[in-house]
Amino acid sequence: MLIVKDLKVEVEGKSILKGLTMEVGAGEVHAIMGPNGSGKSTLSHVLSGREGYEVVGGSITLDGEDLLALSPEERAWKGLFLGFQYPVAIPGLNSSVFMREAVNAQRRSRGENEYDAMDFLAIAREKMKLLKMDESFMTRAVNDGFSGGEKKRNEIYQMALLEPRLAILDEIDSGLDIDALRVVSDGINKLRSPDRSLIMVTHYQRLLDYVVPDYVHVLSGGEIVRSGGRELALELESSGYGWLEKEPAAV
Amino acid sequence: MVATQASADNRSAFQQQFENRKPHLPGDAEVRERAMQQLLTTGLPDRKTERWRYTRINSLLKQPLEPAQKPVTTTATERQPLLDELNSGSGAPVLVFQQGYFCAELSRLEGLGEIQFKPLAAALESGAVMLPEAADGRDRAFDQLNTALVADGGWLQLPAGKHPLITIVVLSGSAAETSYWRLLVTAASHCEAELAIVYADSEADQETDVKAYQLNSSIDLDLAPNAQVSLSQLQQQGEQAFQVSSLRANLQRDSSFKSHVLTLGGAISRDDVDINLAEAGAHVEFDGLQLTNGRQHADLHLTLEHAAPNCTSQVSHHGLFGDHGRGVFNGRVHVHPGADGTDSQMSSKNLLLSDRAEIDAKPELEIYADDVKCAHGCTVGDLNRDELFYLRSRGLTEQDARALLLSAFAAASFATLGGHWGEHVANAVTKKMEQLSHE
Repeated sequence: MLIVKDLKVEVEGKSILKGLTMEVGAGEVHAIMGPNGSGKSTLSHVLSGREGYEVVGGSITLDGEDLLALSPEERAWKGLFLGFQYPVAIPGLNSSVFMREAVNAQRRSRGENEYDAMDFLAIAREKMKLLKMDESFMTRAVNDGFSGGEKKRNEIYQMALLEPRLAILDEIDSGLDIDALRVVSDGINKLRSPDRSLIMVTHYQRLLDYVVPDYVHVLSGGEIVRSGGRELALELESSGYGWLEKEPAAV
Repeated sequence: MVATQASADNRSAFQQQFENRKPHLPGDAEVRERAMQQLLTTGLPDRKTERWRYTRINSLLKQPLEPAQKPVTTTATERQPLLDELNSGSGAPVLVFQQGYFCAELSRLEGLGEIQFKPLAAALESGAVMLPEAADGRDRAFDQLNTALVADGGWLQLPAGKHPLITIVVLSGSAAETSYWRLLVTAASHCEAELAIVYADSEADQETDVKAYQLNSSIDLDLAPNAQVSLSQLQQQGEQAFQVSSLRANLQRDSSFKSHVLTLGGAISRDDVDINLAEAGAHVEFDGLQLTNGRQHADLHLTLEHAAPNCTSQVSHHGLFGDHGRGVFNGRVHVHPGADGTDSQMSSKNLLLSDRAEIDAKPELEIYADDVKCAHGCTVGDLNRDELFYLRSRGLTEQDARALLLSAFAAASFATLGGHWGEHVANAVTKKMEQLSHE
C-alpha cells in the first residue's frame, strides 16, 4: 500500500533522512521508534506534505501513486491522516464546524453527497462515544484551552470521523498520563481494521503495550537500522537507545 | 501658519452653531458653555496632535456640518426589518434613537422591568441628571462638542439584580449633518446588565446625494461596587458615515466591565475608550475588532487607568484589513503609584490581506507601581502557516482553509457574546468577511 524507497530529506540544507526504506501493507500496524533527533517527526511531516522539507532523493507511493506530487489536502482525500504531536489551537474556530467542513471536503473529493448539520451531528456523537468525549467538545474552539490529553483525544476523534486508510500518529502518546493513554489507545484499537494501516511514531514503548504493532522499526541517524516484530520494542525498553550510538561511532 | 488659521475659522463656525442652538438645549447651560470655551481656547486636533496623528480629520472639520434637528416624523420605518431582527421574539427592550433623538414609536420599553430609562432631554430638563464636564485638551475636541451641542440621548439607571439584554439602536445620516448622541448609565451595586448598541444608517440604502454625515456619540458609565456590566458596540454604518465615539467607564470596588467595540462600517470611525479602574478589585475585559476594506479607516484609542490595587484587565484587539483598509490601535495601560497587584494583559493581532492595507498598532505601558504583572504583545502578518497546514491536512483546500481561519480570527473577538445578539454580530461579521475575501 505505502512504499517508501531510499527517501532522502533535507531541512534548511541539513540532511535529516538519509535513505529510508519501508513498506506498509493494508491493515498493518507499524511502530517507528528512535531517539530524539533521529528523524521520526520529519518522516511524519514529509508523508503528510508539510512545507519546509525538501525531498532530495527517493520516492513515496501510495497504491502506486506518487504521494510527493500531491498537496496536503489531496493526500487527505486519498485517505492519509496525520495525528499531530502538537495539535494547534485555533481560537474562534468551532470544532464541529471545522470537522464538518473537513469531512465534507473529503466526501466532495470522492463525489459523495455532503452531510448536512443533522447528519453530521449524529455521526459526530457516535464517534465521540468511542473516545469517551464529552459533548461540550463540539461547541468548543479547536484545541483552544484543551489539556494535553484532550488534544490527543481530539486527534483520534478526527481520525475516527475521517476514516483514513493510512493514519500516521506522531507521538500520540507524548504528554499523556496513564489514564489518558488508555483512553487514546482504546480509541485507536477500535479503529483498527483490515483495510486501515497505521504508522505509530513514538519514543517510548509504553504505547505499544496498549496498541500492539505488527512491526517495529528503529530509526537512527535518518535511517532504519533495525526492523522486527513487537519483541524489538521490548528489547529497546530494557536496553534503551544507547547501543545505537555505539555502532555508527566509527563514522 | 495656514493650518492654525483654518482651524481658528472652524472654531468660530462651531461657536456659531452653539450660539444658534443654545436657547433650545435642555438642562444646565453652564457645563455646555465651559465645554465650548475649552474648544475655543485649545482648538481642534490637527496633524500635529499626537492622538490624532494617524487619523486625518481635515474633511470633518473643514466645513462643519450643521447639528441635526429633532426629526418631525419617523423617517426610519425602513429600518423596521433591522429592528425586528434585533428584537425577534425575545420580548427584550429596544431603545431607538434617530439623529441622536429618542424615538418612542420605534422603541419598545416593555421588558425594561426595574430599569429606569428616560430620554436624556427630559432627564436633563428635570434636573435629575447633569452632563459631566467635558475632558480638556485639543485631542478631546469632539467630547467638548458633544457636551456643548448634544440635545438628546438616553439616561439609564440599572438597579441591583439581573436584567434582560437592552438593545440600543442609534440611527443617523438621513441628511448631510452631524448627529449628537449621548448615553449616561449608572449601574448600582450588585447589578448584572448587558447593553448592546448598534450604529446604523437611518435608511436601508442611504440616499446617494448625502455625501457625508457625522455621528458624534458619547457614553458615560458608572459601575458601583460589585456591579457587572457588559456593553458592546457594533458599527454598521454605510460608507458615507464619519463617526467619532467616546466611552468613559468608571469602575468602583470589585466591579466588572466587559466591553466590545466592533467596527465594520463607516468611512472613518474613531473610538476613544477610557476605562478608569478606580477602586480595588475592579476587572475589565475589552475586545476590539476592526474589519475594514475599500478606503475605510478605523481608529481605536484605548486607555486603562489602573488607579487602585489588585485590579485586572484583559485587552484583546483583532484587526483584519483588505484593499486600502486602514486601522489604528493605540492601547495604553497606566499603572498608578500604589496600584500593586495589578494584572494587565494586552494583545493586538492584525492581518493585512492586501499590499495596500495598513495598520498602526501601538501598545503603551506606563508603570509606577512595583508589584505588577503587565504583558503586551502585538503581531502583524499573514495567517499562521501551522494553522493552515493543520486544516489542509484534514482535507480542506488552501482557499477554504484560509476563509475558515479568517472567520475564526474575527470570531475570537466576540466569542463571549451569546444569544440573539451574538448571532446578529456573527451574521454582520460574516457578511463583511465575504466582502473582504472577494477582493
